Amino acid sequence: MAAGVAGFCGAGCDRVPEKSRVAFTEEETRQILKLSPLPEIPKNPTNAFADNPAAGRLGQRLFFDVRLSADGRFSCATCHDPAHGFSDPKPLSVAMGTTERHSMPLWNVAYQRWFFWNGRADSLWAQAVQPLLHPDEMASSPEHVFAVLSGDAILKAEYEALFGPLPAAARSRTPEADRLLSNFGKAIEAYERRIISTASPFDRSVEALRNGKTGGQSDRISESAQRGLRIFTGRGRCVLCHAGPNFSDGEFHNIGLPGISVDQGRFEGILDVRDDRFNGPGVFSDDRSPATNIKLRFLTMKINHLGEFKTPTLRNVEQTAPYMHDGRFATLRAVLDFYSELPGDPAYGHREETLKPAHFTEQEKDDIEAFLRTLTGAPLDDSLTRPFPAAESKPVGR
Amino acid sequence: MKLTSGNHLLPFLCILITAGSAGCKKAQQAAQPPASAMPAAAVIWPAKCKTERGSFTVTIQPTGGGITLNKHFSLNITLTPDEGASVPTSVSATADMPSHGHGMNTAPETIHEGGQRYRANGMLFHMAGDWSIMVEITAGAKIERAFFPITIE
Repeated sequence: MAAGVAGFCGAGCDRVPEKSRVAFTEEETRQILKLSPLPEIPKNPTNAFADNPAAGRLGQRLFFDVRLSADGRFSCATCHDPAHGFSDPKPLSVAMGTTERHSMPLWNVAYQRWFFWNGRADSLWAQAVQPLLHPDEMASSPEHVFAVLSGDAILKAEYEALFGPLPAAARSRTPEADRLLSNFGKAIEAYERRIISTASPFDRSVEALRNGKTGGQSDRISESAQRGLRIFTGRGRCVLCHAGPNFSDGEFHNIGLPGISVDQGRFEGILDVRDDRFNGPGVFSDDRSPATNIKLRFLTMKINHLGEFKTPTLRNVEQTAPYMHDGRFATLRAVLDFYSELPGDPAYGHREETLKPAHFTEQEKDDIEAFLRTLTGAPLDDSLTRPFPAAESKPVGR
Repeated sequence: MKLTSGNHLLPFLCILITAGSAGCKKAQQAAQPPASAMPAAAVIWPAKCKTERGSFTVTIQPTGGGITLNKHFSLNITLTPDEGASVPTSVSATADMPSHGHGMNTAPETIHEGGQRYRANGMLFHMAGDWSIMVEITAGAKIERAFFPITIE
């Protein structure tokens, strides 16, 4: 019989503090240790500017710039609002039109392998181009982006310092226009790669556990949260898909949400990402090599991809309601109610075989919710969550 | 061919040996954990298995020494034909999660490296749990398969 580990009280702890009464087995402890901390941010060689601070600064300007939308009212931040976990409190976003899916939170988006709920982009820069042009989102055009950039001295200077001179014109579907759009995306990616969740109470608890420290109360998550963690990694099997320190396997699953839907999810996303002219092997990529683009090279499409959607991160999940690809659940409790009973038949395709009704008690739901709330980190530095004030809008190099 | 939950119970499942085990048991392959995570049992590679029809012994070994959860890897495959076995005309590898009813989200491509050596590129285990690696050999009129169960953590 494996020796128990008293909550997050390390070996040698002879007093079980108030917040640490759950005795985790060695196996449970091993599972818990896999969930923290976040590793280094993966590189993206297809964007040579991904970790360039100047590109990040330009990207931040562009992210919040409503002038880029067709009618001058919407920016990326409209649907990825920093005040709501870089997501949208509305189930479907409303900009130039109404979107078909809920806005994905941007927390830790740099760790993802695929982008959008259906993975129809293989990089963050390729992703960023699509809402810019989509008629229901910003409904912009290369001509419009060109006009905004060339008409703003700061944007123009920062763009040109990074990417070289703006083209003389940017007529849609010309190489110059696509180069402009891809550079736009690369700057946005450089900003979004900085939207990384900060250490949460859960992380501090795991760190104490890993170091075998008894720690103080501040190193502990509540007893209810510990029970929730046990369910999360154990009989709830949540960790099968919400795996690793980012609480996402980065892949796609059909959890069998009921209702009437024509959304094929990943099935359609695979077709789209292969055809995307901004994908990794494409001409606008900064590294088109097979080795870098291995994920697209061996990607396959199967019938079970129908109705699959990407596993979202659970980092800061309490900030990002509503939930699911269509934003159907207003609260975490509603999500747990769904997983508890798995009501109805899947709207599309076939529910993941491993999903069985968990029949959580109300107490267990409370506990899982308590655990999920321990994944909330401190807010990002304010300088990352707002547009640069005009006073800070200096051209690069000054 | 896709391995389903129905046929994974075939008696031809081969056995991987874990470090420290005296006998045969199902493999438990530790995905590369964060540096600070607890170590887990590691498979002793290479793994060997006879095909279900018995014409080949199949030896597999992932490149890089092991399999990491959610990372692409290649699989080196070596065939040892029994006497009288036909010459293989194709060799492929894939993997499924029998209890999940799905497999990998990639379609590996196998290249012939000469002699009895092959390499399957583009393997990816995106979930922790029980997987079954299948190597399929077409030789003459026969299709031969070898199955290697492995648990990824």
